[in-house]
Amino acid sequence: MKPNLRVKIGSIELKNPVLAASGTFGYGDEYADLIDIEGLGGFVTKAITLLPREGNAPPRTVETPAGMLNSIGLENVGVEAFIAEKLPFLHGLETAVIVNIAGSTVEEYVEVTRRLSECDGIDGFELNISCPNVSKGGLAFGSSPETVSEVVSATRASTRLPLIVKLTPNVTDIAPIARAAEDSGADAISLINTLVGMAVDVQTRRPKLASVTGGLSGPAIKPVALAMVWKATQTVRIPIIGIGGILNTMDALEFLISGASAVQVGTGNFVDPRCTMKIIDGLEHFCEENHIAKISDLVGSLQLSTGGAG
Amino acid sequence: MITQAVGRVLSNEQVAPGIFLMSLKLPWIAQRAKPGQFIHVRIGSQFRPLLRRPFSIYRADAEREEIQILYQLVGEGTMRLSEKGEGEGLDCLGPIGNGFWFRREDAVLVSGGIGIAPLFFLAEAMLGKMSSDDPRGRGRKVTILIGASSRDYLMRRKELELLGAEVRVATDDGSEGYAGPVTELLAATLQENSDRAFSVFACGPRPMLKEVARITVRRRIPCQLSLEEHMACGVGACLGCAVRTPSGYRRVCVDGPVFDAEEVIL
Repeated sequence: MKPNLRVKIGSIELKNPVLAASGTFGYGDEYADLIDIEGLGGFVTKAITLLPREGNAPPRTVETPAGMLNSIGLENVGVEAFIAEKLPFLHGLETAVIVNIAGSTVEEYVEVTRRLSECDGIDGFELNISCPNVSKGGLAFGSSPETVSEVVSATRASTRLPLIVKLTPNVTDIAPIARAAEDSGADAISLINTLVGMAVDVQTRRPKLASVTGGLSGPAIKPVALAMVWKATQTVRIPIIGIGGILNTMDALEFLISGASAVQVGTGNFVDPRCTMKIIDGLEHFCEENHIAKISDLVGSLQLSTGGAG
Repeated sequence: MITQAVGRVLSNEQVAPGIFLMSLKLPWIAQRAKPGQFIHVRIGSQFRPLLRRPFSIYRADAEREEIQILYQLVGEGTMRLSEKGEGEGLDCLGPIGNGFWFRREDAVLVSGGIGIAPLFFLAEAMLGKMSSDDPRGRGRKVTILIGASSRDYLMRRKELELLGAEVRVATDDGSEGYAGPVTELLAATLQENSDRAFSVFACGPRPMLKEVARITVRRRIPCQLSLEEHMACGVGACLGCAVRTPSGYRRVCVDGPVFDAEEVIL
């Protein structure tokens, strides 16, 4: 019998625990020729704001050791164009469609969520309170428990759809932030967003990104992400979605074992568009080989008993 | 449509100092590639480099199911690419991008450095491949201005002459041809041909393209520029490879890499 890969994130049923992360998968159609999108557990759209955003000046990306920096600056078409031009493609897809929402004020988060809640074809929202690349909003909301509470409770009141809150690692302690999200009505937490980073061209003495600093992603951040996921699972009861440097099945398994109910693949999509598909196949194979009937049995199965290891 | 395929390396040789020519067996891409399009190549199997690297298609041979890329060693990615041997497989996405658009007009192609790669493919398409009975190229005049730092870096000159292109050369150090930037050679060429209608097609470093745009836009000569930018996904999803236009940013990977000179702010 095939292992059961289904997991639940709040009321969202995922056919498997692998999602494509926001900002790396566009509005979905960009990858439609390359992979079977419906094979995904789900995917998270590019962040949507109330009005269209132009984004930051180039260069916006640069590769760094085992990772990359980006500073896109939340470029997106805005909520109305998203509904008119992008949502029709997503409507009816046999995979969970989660819309990532960003804003520079609490009111903006609320307005975008309210507007999108009137539309069909959306399975849930991911609140981006962790973007490091915009001057207002984003990270500013995600770095203190008080502002997290404020934006999450206001948004919670504006929709009945599941709410996932995406947290930043750029904080002293993730625990009070995660708790604030849970207490304010979040159905799940996803983490981590990118770490603030920087790279310099020594010949020109210029920063390699026009915005000087950007967000670090890729395998370089995986241990940081795992530690934060672990810490969050020790703090809250709502499901956790692990994100950060997941490139293959073993990476995904590390997150699931550490307590993540699902994972998101971001930079991995750039390395190999089939990354998510390979991970899904790999998870199924791993469960078969290890006689695991359902993947949810793996979640949080981390063995902490101390013993002979010295 | 973009596809993902593993191309077998057929050859990979140095053709000028620090410049390599690689042939890959990629049937699907070879049969569909247009001049100005590129492939997005995963060079490392692990993290070095992590991301893919874009390379202009230098030639595509549909019958032999091969494509070629001409590339310059600029960093770790291209260094590792140059070490690939015959028979190795390379994970490629392609063909990507809009490519150049042209009809039967006369053309002036302006190349700076490794910018010759997509322009060679364009010249070949304009002049009707190698076969003399192909009528496409007849009566069309294609002039190509090749700019390089020095004569050792002047590439593909004989091949272009064999195709029937008029080749003019500029070197920064004056070791061959016009001594100075290729954009000055362009200005002179436009002056000489001011009584004729033609289009300009350019690929090279950003300052060169900026100057080409300035010269052609002022004279109202149609001009297409092939741009380069740091790229992550290569399929239009990440919005990393932005170029400014009067109506906001556009993606170099799938909205370009070829843009009308009037439509981009460099």
